[in-house]
Amino acid sequence: MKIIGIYNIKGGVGKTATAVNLGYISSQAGLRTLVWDLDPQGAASFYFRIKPRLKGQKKLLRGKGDLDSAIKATDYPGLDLLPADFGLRNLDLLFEEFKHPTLQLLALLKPLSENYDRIYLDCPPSISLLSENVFRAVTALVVPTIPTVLSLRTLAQIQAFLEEHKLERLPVWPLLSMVDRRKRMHLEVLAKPPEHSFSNSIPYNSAIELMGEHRQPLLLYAKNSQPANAYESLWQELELRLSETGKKQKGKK
Amino acid sequence: MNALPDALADPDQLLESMPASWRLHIGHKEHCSATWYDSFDWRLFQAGLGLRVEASVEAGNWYLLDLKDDTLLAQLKSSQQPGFANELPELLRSRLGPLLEMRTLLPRLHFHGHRQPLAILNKEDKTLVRLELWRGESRLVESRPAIFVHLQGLKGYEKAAARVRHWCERQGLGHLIGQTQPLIWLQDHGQRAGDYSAKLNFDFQADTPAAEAAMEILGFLLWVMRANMQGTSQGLDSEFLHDLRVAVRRTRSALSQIKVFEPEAIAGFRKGFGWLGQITGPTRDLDVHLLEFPQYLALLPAEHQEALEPLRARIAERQRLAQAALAKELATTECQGLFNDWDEFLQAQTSGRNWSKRGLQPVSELASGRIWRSYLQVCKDGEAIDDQSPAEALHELRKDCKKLRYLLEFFQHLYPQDRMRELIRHTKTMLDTLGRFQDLEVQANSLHSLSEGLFTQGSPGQQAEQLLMEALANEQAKERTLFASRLADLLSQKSVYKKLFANRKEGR
Repeated sequence: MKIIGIYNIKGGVGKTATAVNLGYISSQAGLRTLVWDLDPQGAASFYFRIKPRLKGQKKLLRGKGDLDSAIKATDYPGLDLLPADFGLRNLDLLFEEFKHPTLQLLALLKPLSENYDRIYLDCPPSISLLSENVFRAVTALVVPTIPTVLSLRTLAQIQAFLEEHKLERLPVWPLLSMVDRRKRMHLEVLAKPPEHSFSNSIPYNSAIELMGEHRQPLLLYAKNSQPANAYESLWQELELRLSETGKKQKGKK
Repeated sequence: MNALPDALADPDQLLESMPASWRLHIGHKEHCSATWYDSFDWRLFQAGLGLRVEASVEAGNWYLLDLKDDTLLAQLKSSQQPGFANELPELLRSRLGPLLEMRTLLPRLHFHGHRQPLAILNKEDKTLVRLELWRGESRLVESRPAIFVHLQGLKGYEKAAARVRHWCERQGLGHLIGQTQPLIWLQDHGQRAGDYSAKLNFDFQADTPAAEAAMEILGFLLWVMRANMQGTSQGLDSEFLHDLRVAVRRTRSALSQIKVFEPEAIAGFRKGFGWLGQITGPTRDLDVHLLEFPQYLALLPAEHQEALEPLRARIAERQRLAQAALAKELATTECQGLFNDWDEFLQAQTSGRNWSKRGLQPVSELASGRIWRSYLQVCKDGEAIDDQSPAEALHELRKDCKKLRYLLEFFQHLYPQDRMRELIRHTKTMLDTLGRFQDLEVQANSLHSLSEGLFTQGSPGQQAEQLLMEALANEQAKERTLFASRLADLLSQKSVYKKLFANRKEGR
């Protein structure tokens, strides 16, 4: 099982669109896929037309019951969702109750490895104990990043945080997102992208914004559009990187 | 099969009868063509699985189903035909490989018709339950259309699925629900999913006349032979030939051990089955080489393995030729006549008019006597073998053990099950060792002969072949060292054999 965190401290950079579209493509490729909507705003849940919960997952996180019982099937075979839970807006406080507060998410995800090949975590825009849990649980971190100076600064902050917490080995893969080739700054960043960026980027395109209207993954209503093709290419590149990461880890053993 | 409710005679009427409170999304009616696949001996079905492949323009849609829960376990697209496990898409290979082993997937039921997809939605237009109404024809049954209702509940929405199921049941449609319905429907029309098994399972009782019991045994074995003929002729997978040969060997053993027929009456048949065993031998030997080839390679250091590929290719080519020759022989009137005549002979015996005194005796007496004598023969031959005994002595012991095992298997249900299981297990373990010992020698000789002229002196291939011969000889020696303990285990069962089988009269 591979767990992919879709993460950025900044909001509005395309995290949820990325998680939803990559999750969909993954399931269509035959991989059993779960998207966990960790953001109490519940955008991913909204796209999948699944009601967020009000308080259920707290119990699960306290070990009463298992995460599996909260999972819902989406309308797309092979793709499930762990919906947003408004009760988790103070998740950090919940994690503090445990002996190993930074490892709780990993502990919760482990039992799901039999049922899923890929788990995408749609993370809230914050840097917190939850984020640290994400960093310690995931195989790789995909960081949707708008190609601006400020966004690159945020990327550097994430890297610094990881180094400070001895998480330098975590693969961090920036994804240039909402790219507008009419903007000079975007072109400059594209010409010199951050280290380990995906070669595929996601263009700024109104079709992506329409996800909120259609409440579907992009490929269902805009197949063969530029952003849809971009997500498909991105997914293939992601899978290649994941398999190479897996080989490196095996080699080390 | 239950009568179809009027509503389902026209699926459109069924749609109209659904509760108004259900938010329905009605998909387009589409033509569908679906085939259920399984091995000849229904291994997937026995394991509670079903594999359905629906044809489509680009690639087939494959669905692996849990038959007990009627749930979808895996779904994928593939343009290939289901076949051997190692050729299956990766998603299914690890799951189905251990079940199928060397058997190929075959089409077992074909359905073509139309399906109407439906979805029941909530207020957010989220799908809660999926339904498909299937209506069509099957090649197996011509008289009436097949109707199925596929109800697919979604994870997390089980209550909604239960409500829909409950409604279907109230409409009288309960018996039509389920993705497994086509396989159960086979059963209603005179065929059965899971109907083929070569396992011995007889009904005769201890006081059944021996001839009647023999008829049941031989009749079953004839059924197994016939069931495997087509698959053997077509070379679909190696198990068809294997099951055919086992049935032939068991038949020959039964004829020589259960002496209820006049010898002259069955002389021709014994010769015929001997011939059948003989003509199927070469193909089976080559099948075994191909099946065992990965194990041969595993005996060699990694750097020598690839050099044996020309040998494997030659074996595969010889197997194709042998298979073609076998198919021709099996198509001859001689072969077909053997089965037909044997069937007629057995039918003629069922009246009981010509049964000998031995044939009339209770089968338990005959069975006990034969098993006891057979066991004593095994003990005598086994105890005469020491470290200096030639391989031939072990080969003879193997034949005796096989006779004993077949007798135990034919009549096991007449005796306490747990005891018989133990006795059969010990015999089988001994046979495995003896079989391995003999087979390794035979295989080594055969492989050596097959590789003649294939590799030049000093080439990597020749080196690999020599290493293989040495490795097989070592393996054979290992089996020889196990012989003593296997024999000791078998001999330790003497008191059990005596208690169960001795002192019972075998009619002469």
